[in-house]
Amino acid sequence: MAFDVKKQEASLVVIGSFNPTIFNPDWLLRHELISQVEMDDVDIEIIHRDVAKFSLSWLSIEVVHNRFSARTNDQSYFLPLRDLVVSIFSILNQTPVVQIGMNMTFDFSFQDEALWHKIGDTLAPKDIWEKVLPKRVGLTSLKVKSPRVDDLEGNINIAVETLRSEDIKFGIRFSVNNHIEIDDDKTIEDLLMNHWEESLQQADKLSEMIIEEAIL
Amino acid sequence: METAQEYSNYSSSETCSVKPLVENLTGHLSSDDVVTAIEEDNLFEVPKFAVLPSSKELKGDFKLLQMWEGLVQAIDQDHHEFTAIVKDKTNPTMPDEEFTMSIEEIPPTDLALLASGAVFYWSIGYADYPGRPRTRESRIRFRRLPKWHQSELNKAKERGKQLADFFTSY
Repeated sequence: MAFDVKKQEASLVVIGSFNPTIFNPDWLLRHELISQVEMDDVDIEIIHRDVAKFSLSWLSIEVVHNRFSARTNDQSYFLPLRDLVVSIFSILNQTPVVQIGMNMTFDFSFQDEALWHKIGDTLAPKDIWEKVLPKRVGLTSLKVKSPRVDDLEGNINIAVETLRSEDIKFGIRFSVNNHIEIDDDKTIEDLLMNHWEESLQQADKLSEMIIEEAIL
Repeated sequence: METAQEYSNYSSSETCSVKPLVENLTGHLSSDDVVTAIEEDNLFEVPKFAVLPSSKELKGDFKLLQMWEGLVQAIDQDHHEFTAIVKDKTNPTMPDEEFTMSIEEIPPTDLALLASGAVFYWSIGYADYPGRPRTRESRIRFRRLPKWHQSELNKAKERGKQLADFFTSY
């Protein structure tokens, strides 16, 4: 394999109208959505009327007035993440929500620098850029979107970024946003129970297919 | 590819309407986003707190090897074990399996959730956490759902009674 996945992160973002102070670890514990052991490990950054930010060992939650997000980089919790969000919004079933995003991020690492450049050159050909910029031109980020193919309103948004860190010398981050506009006849619970797993699989398949096509 | 029963033989090492202010805020935003560039989204009013920098990195990593979703069928307290039907979530083409597992495998915090009909996730993978060597872990987590309120139970009972009356009236 010319590349491997170093890290995966799943996240759920809901756009609506929220009261951030509700979203605190005590509330989750009171509704038995997390355990006491998880509660003991909680790290609260801020709980305020404008913003709530805290994390457990496997989960990070951020809420502002119009945006709720929950994420985990622990693959064994990708389904519990969905259950948690479903439970939260079934308790807060009067909360107005308008959009939901089911997101996956993959950090790919490449051994071969030439292969890494090939992906950038294939996804964003440099012919035009190299005519106007005298030195080497490199891709830093690229975003594309396409309408959903199912009967839901929304888009599939994909972002590709180059990634360089201590662990990853030649890396590419793929972020796949499965975006849905929520109709009046749909609930978050239904959408997540019916589409979350499919969304994870789709993101996995899309990112690998793009890389494989690019390095052919 | 190993089956669930094969894995079970391992001993685990342990009310107003709102409109979105900007188009498509549901993607995850990176703190590395170039905020000085003119982007399409900047043409709209960006909510004050919509673009928060991402929270700090979650510690450690769990590389999933295999995962099953289980449905508890029966609990045998005498033998301290339970039976479940499991679906292979890593390879959905595999058939469902019935297997028996020791109650000891369940974390103490989830024991109260063990009941017939309960759903759980069973994951096997490599755990890499700072300050300790890589370990192969088996994890079980029961699905946590909101508690039923007495009013909801009363409503369900009332609805059940109505249906029973309807069907027995014919």
